[in-house]
Amino acid sequence: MVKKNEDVLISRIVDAPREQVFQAWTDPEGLEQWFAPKGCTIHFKQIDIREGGTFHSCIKNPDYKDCWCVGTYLEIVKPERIVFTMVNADEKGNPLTAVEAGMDPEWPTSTTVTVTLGAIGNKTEFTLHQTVNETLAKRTGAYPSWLQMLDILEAYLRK
Amino acid sequence: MEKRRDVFQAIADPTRREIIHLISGESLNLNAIADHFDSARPTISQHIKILTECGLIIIKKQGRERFCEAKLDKLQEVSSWVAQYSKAWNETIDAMENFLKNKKHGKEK
Repeated sequence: MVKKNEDVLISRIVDAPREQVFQAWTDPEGLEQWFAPKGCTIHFKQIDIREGGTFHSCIKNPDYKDCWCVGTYLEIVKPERIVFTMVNADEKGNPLTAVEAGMDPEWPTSTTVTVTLGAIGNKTEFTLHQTVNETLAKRTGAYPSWLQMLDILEAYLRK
Repeated sequence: MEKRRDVFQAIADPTRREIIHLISGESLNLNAIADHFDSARPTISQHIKILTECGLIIIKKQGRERFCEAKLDKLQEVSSWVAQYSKAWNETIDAMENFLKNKKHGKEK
């Protein structure tokens, strides 16, 4: 049963030692190779991965506008824990409210992501927790999809 | 028993999807739509009836002619339904796993 009002919580066994997983999360060049949803690419305008360090990223979605984000690394505990905030932002790094960023109004201005890595032999017990309601997170996924669909529809109607 | 009519039923049939496609740019009368298909006219009429019941088409009378107009905003239900299954973090974690896999293989070579 899916409980209501539950945060995003994803657990997985990853077939790689946790040092490698930790490395993947704390190496900027590595992050640029994978830290974006399907079909998207990410570029860091600035990134300083240490406790108190900040980042300013841009996710490019070929079907949607660029998505800027800023955040602060709250905890970096090698090789088991990475905690950082994620805040919607503009190109200059100014924080945006959810509405300004074109997201669901209920979306929090800042969410905190906690990645926990446990070692199981050569594998990693991977857990990601984000301080946002799971139902809301799924709902906001609808927003860009809906815009994409409207764009396609509009282009089609112009034909 | 009353048949269930919704937007998902409307787009379930290829002929109905083609009809939506045809009239999405301009309203067409029944003859113009039927001429586009090899199917018998009553078959096309039936599809249009279903599309009307599903709320994707409204029929507007202009003199003697009856024009079919597409109501495409109904398709929002489809995109909303699909979108709830988009799980960005899961995709990101898949990407991380692929990245780690490729890295591992790269080292072994």
